[in-house]
Amino acid sequence: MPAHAFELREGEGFLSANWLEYFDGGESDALAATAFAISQSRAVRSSHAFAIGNVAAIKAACSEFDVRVRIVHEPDAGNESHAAVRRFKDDDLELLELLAQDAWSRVIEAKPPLDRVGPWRARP
Amino acid sequence: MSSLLTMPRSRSVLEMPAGAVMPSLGVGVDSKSIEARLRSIRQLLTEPVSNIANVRDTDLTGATLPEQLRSKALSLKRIAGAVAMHLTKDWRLKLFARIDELCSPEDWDEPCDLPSEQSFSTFLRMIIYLHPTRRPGIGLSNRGHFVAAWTRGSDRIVIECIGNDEVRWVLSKITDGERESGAGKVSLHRIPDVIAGYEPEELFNDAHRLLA
Repeated sequence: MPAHAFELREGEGFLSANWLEYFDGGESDALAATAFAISQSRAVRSSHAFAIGNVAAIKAACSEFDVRVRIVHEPDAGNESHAAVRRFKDDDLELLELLAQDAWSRVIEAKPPLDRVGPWRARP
Repeated sequence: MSSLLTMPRSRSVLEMPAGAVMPSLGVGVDSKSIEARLRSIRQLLTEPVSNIANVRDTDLTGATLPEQLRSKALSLKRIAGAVAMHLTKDWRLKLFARIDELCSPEDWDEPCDLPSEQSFSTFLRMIIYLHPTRRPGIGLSNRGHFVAAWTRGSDRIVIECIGNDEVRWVLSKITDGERESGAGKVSLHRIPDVIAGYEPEELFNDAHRLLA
């Protein structure tokens, strides 16, 4: 997972994420449901990947850099598991690297979950 | 001074007369690395490597996204082609294939900026300057900057090529079980100096050759 994946896009006020345990079932069920939920607002492709992070570890990593984040469940239209990492600052590359290497470092290819919930609809 | 020159090799350093001038044990290695650095700087200053520093980002306003991406891929390959004599054929082909992947309309994430030619020129100049023998992973940041990453186990250096020979780097390395990290923004010719303390040689080198 590259550190740059945690950079906010222009105009983005928070880091967008999904609450994996919002969905019932095992991890692969939850990932498939998450892939579907995300696809309501943006394309999810088999070349993509999901990075799984632990809320406590993310908060701890951020606080090492004096960034006191709030991770809040904020359902979006069509994406009920949406969560926002608020008060996040992306100007310290060392923090982004710490997230990428430790707190948010478990990477799962998107293809298996996508294969479970296909056929995939076209991008809106 | 003369006593030092006639001194038997086995004599302890502690027995040397006070004030004796000691030759530096590292002088051979230092002079070699200085020589290599000067060679790299000279390469940056000579054509065609110096010419690519002046490329500008093409404005593709009005074109469709697939057209924009196709045009960017062509433009990036043209820049790499200008310094092709410095790249091995094998790596050049891999680099071109990676450009095609990064500029694929099917995989493009729309909120991201298009790849920047200026950033790519900094990337190529950085490769020519650093002379790594290990291939980096190459990606794009949201801002369209080329990002090069060298990883070995849990150790990694990621360098974002901002453009105009400026880079943003972050290095993390496990030393004695503890993660150490550092980051900064420098001109590309300063990279070796600012990361030297992390002993990054293993990250940059293996048996591969990138440069001809």
